[in-house]
Amino acid sequence: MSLAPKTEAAKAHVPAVPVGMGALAVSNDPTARLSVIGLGSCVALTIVSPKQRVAGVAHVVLPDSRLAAGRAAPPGKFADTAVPALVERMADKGADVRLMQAVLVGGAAMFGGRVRSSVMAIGEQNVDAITMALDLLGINVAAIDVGGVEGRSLHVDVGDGRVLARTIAGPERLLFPNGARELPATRHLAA
Amino acid sequence: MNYEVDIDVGAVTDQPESPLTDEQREGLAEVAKTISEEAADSFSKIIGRTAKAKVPLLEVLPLSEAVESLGGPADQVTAAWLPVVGQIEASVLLLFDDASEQAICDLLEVERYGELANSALGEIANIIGTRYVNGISASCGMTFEPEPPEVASGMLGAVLGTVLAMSTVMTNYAVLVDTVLKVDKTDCTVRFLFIPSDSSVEALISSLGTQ
Repeated sequence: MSLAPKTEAAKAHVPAVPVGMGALAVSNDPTARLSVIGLGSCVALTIVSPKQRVAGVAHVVLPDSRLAAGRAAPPGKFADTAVPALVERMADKGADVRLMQAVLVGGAAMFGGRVRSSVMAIGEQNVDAITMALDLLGINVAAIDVGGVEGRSLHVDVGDGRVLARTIAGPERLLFPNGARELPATRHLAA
Repeated sequence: MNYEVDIDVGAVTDQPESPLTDEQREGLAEVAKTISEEAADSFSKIIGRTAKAKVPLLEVLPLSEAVESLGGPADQVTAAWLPVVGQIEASVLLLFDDASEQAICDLLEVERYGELANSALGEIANIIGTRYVNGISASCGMTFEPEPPEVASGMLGAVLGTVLAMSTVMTNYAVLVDTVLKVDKTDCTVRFLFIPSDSSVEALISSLGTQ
């Protein structure tokens, strides 16, 4: 059975807003849908504040902003800077940090053999760095779907805070809100 | 209250310098054109059919737009990735769409979705990629070579994003040399990307054509 959301966005067929690599998007438009299509080693950090109908997504590429060696970087690119940037911009839209809930999706290692270890390390480091930065701000991680060997896509409906994810061949899965309690923490790290 | 979606992708202009001058672009494109014809020749020999290279496109793209400029991020592809190591770091990525993968498996008489198919696609990548990388290496007088290919299937965005993550550590742009090899009288095409890491672009470009 499809878990297609019955939000205002779905009803109105509002086009999804794509969040590309390193980008960061925040919205208080209840009809809006934010999407990241085709996540490999990158991690989509979603923060929702459903009561206030504010949601945001950062398309995190790498774990540590020091890798940029002082050069300017897009706000969502590095985990350590993406988390505070996303939280701040959500607060600007009226979200209360005490009510924010985070969902992490991505961090897969799609290639095997000699490159697997380096790609897997990036995915894992992205997840760890995001988790640590969220913890510093006291933000709960409500659901996590990371690792494995398959890419994923993610949709966030701002109006009701629903977060949905899928792999290329798999069904759409609800990660937040209700699915968070039904789904185990699915950190499938490939053997 | 105003309802809105704010999106911030950073800016290429945030970078301290432009990655390539027009002259450098032309130089790289010229080298790529010659080598892509050699790569097409190698491809033809493997599959036993004539394959031709379209004129390569040299693209410098903001990171957030790089994937979508090459196709739908949800499109199913099979990719062979050859990391390039040595005096510069780069990646060679061969992309096979669904129909082309089937056509190549038919031409090579291997069953699709098996180890043998992956091995065959990897070998094609190895031969084309090695020819291409050696051509660039010879043109700039630097030593670098491809590592053995790894093959994966999945969404274009996920495959390309994984490679770009490792190629755009310091900057907000991706440099791609994009070549399409087309097999005569079929719909079979192979997309062939050469992606120098951002830390290597300057050294690569400044030494191109020096030999």
